This record gives sequence, structure tokens and C-alpha cells, in this order.
Amino acid sequence: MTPQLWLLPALPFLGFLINGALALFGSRTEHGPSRGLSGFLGVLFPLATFILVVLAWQGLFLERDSILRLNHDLGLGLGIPPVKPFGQVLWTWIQTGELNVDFGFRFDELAGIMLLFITGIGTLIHLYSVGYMAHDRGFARFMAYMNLFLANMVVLVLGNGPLVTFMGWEGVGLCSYLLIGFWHHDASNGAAAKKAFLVNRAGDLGFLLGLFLLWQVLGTGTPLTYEAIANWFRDPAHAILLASAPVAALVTASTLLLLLGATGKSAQIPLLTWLPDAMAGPTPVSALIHAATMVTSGVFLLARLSDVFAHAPLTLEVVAWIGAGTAAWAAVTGLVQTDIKKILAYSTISQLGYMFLAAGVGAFDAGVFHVFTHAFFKGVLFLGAGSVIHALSGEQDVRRMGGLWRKLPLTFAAMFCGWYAIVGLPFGAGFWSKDLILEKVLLRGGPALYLVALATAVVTAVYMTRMMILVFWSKPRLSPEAASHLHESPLTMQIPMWVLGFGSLVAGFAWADPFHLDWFSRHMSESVGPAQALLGAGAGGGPSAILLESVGVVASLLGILVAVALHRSGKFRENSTGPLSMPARAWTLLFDGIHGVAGIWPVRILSWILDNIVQPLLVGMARVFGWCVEMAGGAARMAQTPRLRWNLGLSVLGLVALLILLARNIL
Amino acid sequence: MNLHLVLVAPLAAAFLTFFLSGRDTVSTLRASLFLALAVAGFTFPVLFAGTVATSVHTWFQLPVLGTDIRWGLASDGLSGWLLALTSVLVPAAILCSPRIVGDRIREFAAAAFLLQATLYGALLSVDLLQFFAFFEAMLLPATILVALFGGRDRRRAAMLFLVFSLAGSVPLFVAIWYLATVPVMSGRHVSLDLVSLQALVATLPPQVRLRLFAATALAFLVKIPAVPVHIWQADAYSEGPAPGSALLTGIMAKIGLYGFLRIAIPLFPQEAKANAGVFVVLGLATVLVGALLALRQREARRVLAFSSLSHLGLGLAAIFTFRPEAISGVILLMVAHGLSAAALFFLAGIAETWSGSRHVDDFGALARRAPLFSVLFAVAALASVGLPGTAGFVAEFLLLIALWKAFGLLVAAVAGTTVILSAAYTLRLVQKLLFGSSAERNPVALEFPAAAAWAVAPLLLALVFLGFQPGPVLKAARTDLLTRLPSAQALIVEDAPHVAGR
Repeated sequence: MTPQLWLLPALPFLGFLINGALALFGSRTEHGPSRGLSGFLGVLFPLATFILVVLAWQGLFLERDSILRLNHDLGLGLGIPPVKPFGQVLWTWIQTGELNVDFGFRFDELAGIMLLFITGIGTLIHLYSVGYMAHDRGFARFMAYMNLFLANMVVLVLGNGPLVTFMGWEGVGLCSYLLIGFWHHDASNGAAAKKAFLVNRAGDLGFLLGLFLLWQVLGTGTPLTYEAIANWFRDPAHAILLASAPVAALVTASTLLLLLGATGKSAQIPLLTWLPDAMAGPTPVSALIHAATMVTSGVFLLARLSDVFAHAPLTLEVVAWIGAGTAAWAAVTGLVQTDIKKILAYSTISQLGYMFLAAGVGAFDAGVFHVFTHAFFKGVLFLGAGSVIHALSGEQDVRRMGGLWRKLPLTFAAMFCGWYAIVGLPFGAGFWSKDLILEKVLLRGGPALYLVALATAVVTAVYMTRMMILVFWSKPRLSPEAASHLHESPLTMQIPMWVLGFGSLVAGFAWADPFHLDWFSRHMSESVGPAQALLGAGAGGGPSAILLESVGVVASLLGILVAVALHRSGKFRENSTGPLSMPARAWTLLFDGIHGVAGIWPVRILSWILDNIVQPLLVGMARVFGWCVEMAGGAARMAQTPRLRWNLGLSVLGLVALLILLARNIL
Repeated sequence: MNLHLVLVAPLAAAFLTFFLSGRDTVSTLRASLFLALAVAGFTFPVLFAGTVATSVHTWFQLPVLGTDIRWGLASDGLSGWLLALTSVLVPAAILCSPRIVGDRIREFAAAAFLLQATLYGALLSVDLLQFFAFFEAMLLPATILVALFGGRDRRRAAMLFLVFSLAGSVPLFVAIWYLATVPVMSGRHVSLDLVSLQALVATLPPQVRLRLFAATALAFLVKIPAVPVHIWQADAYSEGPAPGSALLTGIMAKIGLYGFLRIAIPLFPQEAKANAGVFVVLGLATVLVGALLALRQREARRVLAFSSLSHLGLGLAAIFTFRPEAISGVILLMVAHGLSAAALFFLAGIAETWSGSRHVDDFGALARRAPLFSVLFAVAALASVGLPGTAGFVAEFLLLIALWKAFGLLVAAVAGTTVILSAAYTLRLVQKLLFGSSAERNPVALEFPAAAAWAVAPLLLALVFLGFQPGPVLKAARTDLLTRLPSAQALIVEDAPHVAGR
């Protein structure tokens, strides 16, 4: 039985249509559409999608389990049969020339795991939004955009080929644009939204061009589906071909371009400038789109195409260094931020860097595992930050917070779980995934990458602890206005925080080798196993895992201690209110500067030249030409005489002249 | 299927508008809308019929020369989709016209019908001179549209348009004239219908053919328009009435690309192939110049004008790859761009009636003051930047593939900058129109005419439908196109064995 996969994106899309219609036609009424109805529908459709995903996930193993049972009953010693993914082709999408693209979906274990947490956490954040956005005039519109995002994210993950993924890929970009600029009366929000869209489009161009080259490698006869791509690259018959220089170069070029697309979506060097600005959107957006789900699609793409990337060692090297560089740069940037959401934004960039680093050293499953755990702890950190901002009536500057753990104990408890996980203290979610990455990096990437990653872990602990100190533990520095309205958030916001907080403590046990828990890696093996086997990433050896984990914990503790010491010595300057210092600003805006020099200003200068020099020049020439025509017309008028015979004669003369001209031409 | 009926229908509609009241604008609007829909009713069967033709007979003989001028009508997938596009845009333009052309709806409708009739004629012609007659006749209603209903500088804009168009078509006329004289020179009996012309052209010396090709191409370059003969376009589109500009860019500009596909390339396949580089460079220059200029425009409709320039430039470049993806993609591009650009022009026209200005800074916060308008504008803008899920994406994707296959990754990358730049100028326009805070100054809700919503919404639905199901348009190219002109088919490039050697 094939489940109706199209329902998965269709349900949240229906939610978008209904809430969108409510928003549009309720906008003329005094209070806008009913919040109760909008909120109910806005949560209902993601929840229904989540339930369907769970059902599909269970259905995925039905056949295998029945075979296993049969094996057991008959006493056959057969191995565990592979899981057969669900596929559903809906219609022929683009068919022309040699191109033949079907519009279809594919539900395998990788997509299943992604969808489980995307729709699960997505539903929770929708619920949170009901509380967070309750007082906003555009409530229904907000729920509509969030539903639309979820629909597109499902298409991205569920697509049966890169082009269907691309549709979701651009779709989530659009929703990101709409939601960053949600409060569009402020032009700066609009500018941030536009920046996010444009930077992502630069990446998307890379995605498309990379796809062309990949298609060329496959041969135009191969359909553009993930299944066909994986089979082609896994086929031993193609090994010699892939080893030949021109094909290898083509694969490398293709993967580098695809990587550009991934860096755009996942805010990695060089296309990372948009994510901090994206914090202009409402906080649930930052939690769902810019932390838990959309920004991880780059890592998802790398895992999806792991068979291709495994054949491009140079690209993997680049991926690893991009990941390490981004992780380190963003962690350092996070040290000096004063806006609570900006701290978390740079933290997200940094953690995404870890995921890229893992993929770069060939540990795609570890990278996706970090996507999974990160969704929990970064989700709760953002939701907690939103709760704090909500409680303080919109205050986002950590220098005007402090001592909040007494006032907001529930928020504090949830955020503490998130903090515990991200700094990597034992048995938290981040502990397992980050240490797994560190282990693989040391094993496969060499000491240089390992040291960068380890140092980043220390810095991560410093900036996260700094944030927690400034928000919750240090002396209160609230503005009187914020202090007077201080209140704990409503239940709709609390429940998602508790669930995610709990998740960030325990999600790591999905893959905890020392306890022989490998649920996660087992389900990843169908998608990324062959690529990792090819790269030798599955092999053991090297220093013992326990030793490495101890080193990781020491790094975390060191970071925490440094943060406490810095706080004691007053280095956090929590009492100043001024802007960032010059070096801090320069470091933060480093890549904005590079974009300006390399992209934005050349375009501006070129368009200025065209507009002010070339265009007027052409217009002038056209004018001169026009005058000439007019003068010729005037002369002709003068030559016109009232007599018909003259006119006829002139016409005949002209005709003869033309004929003679033409005759000379041909003879 | 009587194609003559299809050709006569808009002419009859134009004629009938003169019996409508000049004063009672409401009933005039209703009646002309009814006429436009009736014409569409005549047109759509042509699209569904696939390849159809009337019998071709000699229209007249050129005196002295004895060259036959034929009269015949024929339609295939290419013509059919452009006919359908035209027949959809004309009623939409009439629906959007009331506040813009004032009480002269009758005159506007008449001009629109005349433009439609001449377009139909050009799209259906089987004879070069027959085509040229309609091609030139098109200038009359187009100029009337700009000069009669436009803004302050409309006369100058109309003059510029006329001068450029004539400068483009005079060489074409000379070329046709030359071809008509060939029988005299060679002592053969020839007709100017496109099929027999192919045989005739093939016998001409290469140098002559090259000149004839250049003259033909110039006429079509002006119509698209392409750099550097694009000067007339921004003025005409911004000075003319917005619904008129929508018709000009939505359908008239397509005749340029159509001319390449139907006439210039099939008649001169070798010259087209030998000089493909020139046109690809011109096309890419048009893409970039249009996009870069659109970034700096201060009037909404000038942004849209340069946006059209940029999008159609991509089509021009891609045609000269002679690849099947490009032919399908160009037809889809023409349909997609016709729908989305027209929708944007219609809506920009409505916005101008609110602010009383064409300057982008005089708009603002329309998302709050006119929500339905904003939704439609945003969707049209997204369709224009080629978001997946709209027809524009499939078209651009196919054109980029064709350029990549024919000329390599670098050319595709240059053309692909349109992906980024089109988002840049379109979002800038969206931002200026819909967002911002001028609502505080003037928070009055604005009245968005329901008629305009009814005009634009179907166009957007069609764009989304074709974004998911482009099959019907793509198929038109696969099965029907160029069957009438066999020599061009030899140009269509089949894939060389790819690098992996499978």
C-alpha cells in the first residue's frame, strides 16, 4: 500500500489557503478575523500533518517487520531486509527535449526522520505562536504564512528529485521573506527580508547550475530523481568512469555549485550575512525557520546527495573548511552581541557550521544527527528568548535584562535545558551529537580541523553562558517600564517550551554509542551508508570515544568557567548601553563588507553608468535620427506639388532607382 | 475550423464599438467586454484544434514583376498560444480601463480590438507580404493607444515608438521588395508565401542572404525590443495608458520573438546559425541592461518596462541555441511573461489612479490600505521573478538549460544572473508599493475595483496552473512548431553523446 504522500504538503497548504482567506476578507472588519478560529486552524493542520507523518513512518517498517517475523517463525537465517521507501509520482511536470521530470514524492528513512521533527516541532511552534502573536493585528496572516512555510518545507524534504526539492527550496525562501518582513510597516524589516531573499537567490542559482552539471554526469537519459542518482553513483560499473579526470572534474564542479546553494540556505560562508538580519521577524519564525528547520536544508541536501559528494573529495574538503570556518567565526561573533536574538542567530550559524564540518569529513549521519538535536535545543532557546522578550514588552537587549530566573522561573528552566544541551554537558542532546562530530573530525579530518572545532566548543560555552548570566543570573537592569509589565508567558507558549526543553535533554539518546543506542544511525544507513562506506567514515580506530568525550566536556567546563570569570571581572560591560565597539562591529560586518565590495557596489555602479551615461547617449542618438527624419519629411513636403502627374513620375522614378540598385546587387 | 472567422471577429468587434454609446460608460464597458469575450470564444477553439490551415490562394499579383502574393491563414501551437494569450488579455485590459482612460472606453476598446485584429493577422499569415501588411498595420492601433490615452509626454513617446518601428520595418520592406523582384531577375515564377520562399532564398548568393537576414532580424529586434534599439520602450510603456502598455508588452512585443521563430530563422537557417553568437550576445546584453536599468527606475511602470526588456532578452538569446528545450521554453516564456507582465501593468495602473502619480515613492503601505490588491500584486511579482510553481520558472529553467547545453556553463551563469537581479528590482518595487508606513499619514482604505480583481485573478491562476502543468504549452512546440517550415527543423540540435559516453 502506498500512502497518499501528497496529503503531507496539501494539508498545511489548505491551512494556508483558509487562514489566508480569513486574513484577506477579515481585514476590513474592526477586529480582524477571529483569533480563536485562526489559531485553531493554524495548529490543526500542522498537527494533522504530524500524525500522518507518524503513520507513514510506521507504515515504512510494516513490510520489513512482517518479513522479519516470517524469518523468525520459519527459522531462516536471512539478514534484515532493507526498508522499501514509499514513492508517489503525481504527474509529469516538465517534458521536452531530453528532459523529463516527474512531479513526485519519496518517503524514505532520511525524509521520515526530517519530517518527524519538522512537523512535530513545527506543530509545537505553531502552538507557541498562538500565544506569542495573540495581540497582533495580523494574526491570521501570520498563521497562514507559517502553514505555507510548513507545506513548502515538506515539499523540500519529500521531493523525489532535486527539482521538486528546488520548488520547496525556493518556497521556504519566499516564506522566510514574508515572515522576516512580517511587520512591514517598518522599512528596515523589509530590507532584511529582501536581503535574505536575494542572498538565497544567489545560492539558488548555484543550485540550478550544479544540477545541470550533475545531469550531464548522469547522462541525459537518466531521470532526475534521487533514487536514480544514488543508483548511478553506487553502480560499480560507473566506478572507472567516475575516476577519469574529465568526469571527476565535472562532479567536483557540480558539487561545488550545489554547495553554493547549500551555503545560501544554511547561512554558511560565503552567503551567511542574511541570517542575523532575519531576526527582524517575529520570534516563533526565528525558532522554526531560522533555527530548527529551513536553515538545516543545506545539510539535508548534502546528505541527500551524499553519493555524489562522496565522489568529490575536493568539495568535501571545502565543505569541511567552510563548516569549521563558519563555526569559529560565528561563535566569536556571538561573544560580542547585545541583542538576545542576534546571539542566538550567530549561535545557529556556528552550529550549522558544525553540521557542515561533519558532512565535510564524510560523517553525513552525524551531521544530520546534529540537525536533529539542534532543532530541539535551539528551538527551546529561541522560544525561551521569545518568552523573555514577550515578558519584557519587546526588550531584546541583554544589557537591560538580568535576574530574570526569579521572575520567569518556567522560562528559565526551559532555557536552562537548552543551554545545558548546547554547551555539551554530559548526556544533553548537544553532548552526543557534538562529540560525535568532534570524534569523526579527529578521525577523518585531521588535527587542524579538530582543534578549530574544539576551540569553537569552548567559545560556544563562553557566549552561551554569557547570555544566560546576563539574562537570568546577574543583577536586574530592567527599564522601569519593562519591569512593571513583567509576567510569565501563557500556557500555549509554555507547553512547547517544556516539550522542547525535555527533548534537548533526552534527544541525544537516539544515538548514544556508549549505551549501544543507535536508532538514529540505523535509519540513516540506507541514505548515506554507501557514501560513508566509500569514504571509510564508518571505520573505527583512533582514540577511544570515552577519552574524546571527556575532552569535549572539559572544553565545555572551561568555557563556562571563562564566562563566569569574565563576568566577575566586569568584562561583559552589561551596564553600558552604547553600540558595539569598533573592532566588534568590524568583525560582525566582515562578510557584509565582502558582499558589498564583490557584489552590491559593482552592480550599483554599473547600473548608475547605464542609467546616466549609456541610456541618455542612446536617447540622444535616437533624437538626432528623429530630427533627420523630420527634416527629410519637410524637404519632401516642399518638393510635393499639387500636380498628380509629378507625383506619379516621382514614384516611378523611385521605383526604377530601387530596381537598378537591387539589380546591381544581384548581378 | 474557419480561421477567417477568427481573424474577422476582432475586426467586427472594433467596428461594432462605434455603435456603442460614448456617454454611458457602464453599458459601453459591458458591451465591449462582451465583444472581447466573444472574440475569445472564437479564438480558443483554434488553440485546441492544434495545427489548422485554410486553403492558400493567390491574393494578387505584383504588377510588372508578376510575383504572386498569397493569402492564407494557418495556426499551429506557437500561433495558437499567442492567439489565446491575446484573446485573454484584451478583455482583461478593457476591464481594467475605466478609471484610466476616463469616459473614452469606447475608443480604447476599439483601439484594443484593432490591435488584436492586426496581431491575429500577423500570427495567422502564411505569406511574407501578408504578414508584413499586418505587422505594419499594428503600428496604427499601437500608436493610437499611446498617443490618445497616455500621460503628459504621450505624443513624444508615441513619436519615438513610431520612428523606431519604422526604422526597423523599412529594411524589412526593402528585403521583401527585393525578394519580390527575384523572379524578374531570374525569370522564374515565384510567390512570397513562406514555404516557397524558403526554396527561393536558398538559391540566392550568400552575401545577399546575409543582408536580407540582417534586415529581417532588425525589424524583429525593434519589436521585442533588444539592446540597443530598446529606447522607445520605456517611454511608450510608461506614457501610454497602463492597460495599453499591458497589451503592448503582453502581446505586441511577442511578435518580435515570433518573427524570429516563424520567419527570420526558417527563411535564413544558415545565416541564423552562423550569426547565432551575435544574437546571443545581444540577448544577454538585453537581459543585463534591462535588469540593471530596472534597478534604478523611479517610476513603477518604467521598472516593469525594463523588467520586460530583461525577460524577453533571455528568450532572444535562447532561441539562437536552436535547441528543443529553448523552443518549448520560449513559447512558455511568451505566455508566462504575457500573463505576469500584463497583470503587473494592470495593477500598477490602478495604483497610479490612487496616488495620482507614477513615482514609486508616492505609493506605499498598500498592503494595509488595499489588501486584495496587494495579494494580487505580490503573486504577479513572484510569477514575474519565476518562482517555482509559476510558469515563469519552468520557462527560465528550460532557457537556461538550452543556453548551458549550447554555450556552456559561463553563458548560462551570465544569463542566470537574471534569477538574482529580477528578484532585486521586483522586490524593490513590491517594497515601495506594498510596504512601508505611509499608512500613518493617510490611513484611508482604498477602493480596489472588483472588475480589476476579476481581470487579474484568472491570469494569475493560469500562471500557477502552467507552473505545475506546463505540458500543454511545451507539447505545442514538440508536435506542431515548424512543421510548416521544414528547413528550420534541421537546425534543432540533438544531443551530442555526453561526456560520460553512455
